[in-house]
Amino acid sequence: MAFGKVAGSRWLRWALPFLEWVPSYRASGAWHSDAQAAVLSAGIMLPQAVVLARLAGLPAQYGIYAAFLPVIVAALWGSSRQLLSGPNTALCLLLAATVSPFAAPGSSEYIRYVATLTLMVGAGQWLLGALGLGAILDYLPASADLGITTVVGVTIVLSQTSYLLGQTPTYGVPAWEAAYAAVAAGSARIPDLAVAAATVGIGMLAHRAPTLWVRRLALLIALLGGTALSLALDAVYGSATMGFLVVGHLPVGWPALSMPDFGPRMLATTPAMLPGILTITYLGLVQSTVIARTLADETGQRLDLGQEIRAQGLANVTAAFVSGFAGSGSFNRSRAHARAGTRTQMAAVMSAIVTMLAATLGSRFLAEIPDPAMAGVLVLVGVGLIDWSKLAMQWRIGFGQAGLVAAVVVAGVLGGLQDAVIVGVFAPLVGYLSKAARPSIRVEKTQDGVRVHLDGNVFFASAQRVAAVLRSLGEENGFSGRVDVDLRDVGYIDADGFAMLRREQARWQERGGTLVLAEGVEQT
Amino acid sequence: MRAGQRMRPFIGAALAWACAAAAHAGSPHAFRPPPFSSMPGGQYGALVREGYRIFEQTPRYAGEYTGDALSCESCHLDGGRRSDAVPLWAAFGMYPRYQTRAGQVISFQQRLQQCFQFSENGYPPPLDSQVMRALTAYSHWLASGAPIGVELPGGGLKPVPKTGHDPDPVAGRRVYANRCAVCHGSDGHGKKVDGQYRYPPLWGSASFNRGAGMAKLPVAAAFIKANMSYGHADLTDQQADDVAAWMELQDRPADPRKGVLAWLLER
Repeated sequence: MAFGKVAGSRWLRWALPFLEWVPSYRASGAWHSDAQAAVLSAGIMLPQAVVLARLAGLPAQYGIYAAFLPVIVAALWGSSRQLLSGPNTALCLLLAATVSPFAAPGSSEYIRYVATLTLMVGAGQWLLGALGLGAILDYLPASADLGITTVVGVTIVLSQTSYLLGQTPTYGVPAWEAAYAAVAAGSARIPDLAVAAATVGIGMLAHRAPTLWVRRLALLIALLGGTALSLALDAVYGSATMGFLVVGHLPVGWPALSMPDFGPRMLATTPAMLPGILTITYLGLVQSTVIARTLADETGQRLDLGQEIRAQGLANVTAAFVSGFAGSGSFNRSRAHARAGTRTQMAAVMSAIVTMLAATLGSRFLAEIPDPAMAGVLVLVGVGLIDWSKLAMQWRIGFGQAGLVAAVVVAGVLGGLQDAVIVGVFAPLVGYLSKAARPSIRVEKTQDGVRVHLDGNVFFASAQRVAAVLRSLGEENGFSGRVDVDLRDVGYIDADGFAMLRREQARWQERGGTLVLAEGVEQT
Repeated sequence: MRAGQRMRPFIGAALAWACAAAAHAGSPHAFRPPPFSSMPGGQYGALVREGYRIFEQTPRYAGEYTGDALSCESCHLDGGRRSDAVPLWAAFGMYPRYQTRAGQVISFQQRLQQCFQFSENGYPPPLDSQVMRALTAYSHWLASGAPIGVELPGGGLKPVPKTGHDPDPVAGRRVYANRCAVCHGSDGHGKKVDGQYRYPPLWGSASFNRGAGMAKLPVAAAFIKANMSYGHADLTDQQADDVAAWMELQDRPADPRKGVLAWLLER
């Protein structure tokens, strides 16, 4: 077959990796279980798509578009069979924090900024994958990831406080400050509070239900329940009396083309947004790969991580042009997706299509979803992200682990998610550096002088420590006689370390002594 | 005498000039909103333009909050510029104001939310939504240079003076058939041109609900008297009252301030 010949070419397999399994899909018999999983996943996706768009500061239909074509692209080009991408809590918070200083959330300018930023994130991710730089994703320790997830959970709950109380939210301040302002205002609208409480309550009950599918669809059930209560209140008291703010009629259909903007204004603000863009690029990939790996470990699938990273990049590039926004793999959705019996990527494709269809057919219902019900669902999402047992385990592992998690959480809650990621990446680096900066230094007296044995690294961080030992040695005997510095067990010397050794050598020489740098010193 | 007689035309001219000047300075139509040609540029201008678009075609550009076929423009004629048709340049400066219906001082934006709940039979746009920002900016621009907190002449609706007769819906039905049905349709459901409402529906499911200001007889009568039929308002006071009474009898969406129970009881 000519087709098979073309598909067999290596380049084509790199560009269109799904050609490997799509032609034989009908014969594989995975259709039935994939379709079942797809319907369940769409039920999980739909409420998240709507509320996460709100978290990102975008109209609800953007969440649905982000859950459609980008998800299909990520699935088809990706390597993991079970990874389900789309809007992601952490990335939504980061998007809002990055763009809202420059444009009002929901404004057309804001939407253009998000499209541009999403394109940059996607292009950056694709490049990382194409250049094979996926290893940098491993630089984030699991405990820092746990801290970041906790920050996301806390921030989501805090950011929804004003909606729970039926107030207009405060913008441009950290989530804890907005939450404090909302509570301190001391005013709550009883209908909003009632609907929010009902949503959270129903969600918690559904989460503990004995039936499996009820537990899986807890968020959807909570959203339906909260909306039903608000509709009932409207019917009894009149909608204008209740005054719920609702999603409104969504112009859902085939996603409109969106254009990233590279006008002068955009270019002028890009440098200021760059830290945010880099954080989104990095965190999106970290989350996707962590999930993909966990799922692959469970199923024994061999994963092509580079392909997965490129697929995430492609998905975000797509999102920039089809009214979506930057997304990544989602842990809770992928987990449920895998457990529902997903066998191939086709399940994610079908799930995206079902989500879109459901949103279009159910747009009359979506219009009636009130603010407090969405806030309630987000509170459920946020609380679900805080894994108390894992946090407690960190404490038992040791002070260092618990300290890192605590530092990430404090930085994130006070300073925002971006700070949390920075602390999460750099605090372990500093910890590692401080360990590496302590080479073991052994000083032995020999017949013809002193031998200094270095074991470890002589580099910028440890140079001063080594220099101090050599100098105190010299001051002891007036820089006379001979010192052998044994470098056999030194793994790594950088320019700073080498310069230091030469400096000490010169000092010794000036004062009449000898300092020998030796890779091999005869044992006596 | 002769000199006086000769002076007469001059006095007349002077008087006419003084009257014209006075009319220009202090006439009921003294305030003029800025012309479209002077719409500003930049970010503010973009928001004003967006607001204008929403104002002219509300179901199209603010569809998420709109529940009927009416646009702001349907009542606030000429893009909210025409005197005696509740112009926006006059309304903007009157907020915040105390409103009996709400029992508190409400802002212009809260008033806009009510427009959407009642006249648009839709959902209130959140105070921080783009629709709210754009419409507020457009109104703000229309009111450039208008005084704040001062009732401007031509600003609201002039009540129809008492005619001594009760409004008669049966007579109103005749007036409607003769004068209004041409544009608004004999069924009152408006008329579309190229798929878009050219003449707004006056009742039925695509029109304002019972909570709207226009659903009140005196308000509707005042609007009709001042503005209908479109282009040459020539109905008598009694005719305006009658047509308004006929309109009030028609079916339209329920008042969202009242629950289904109250609505059922009323019927």
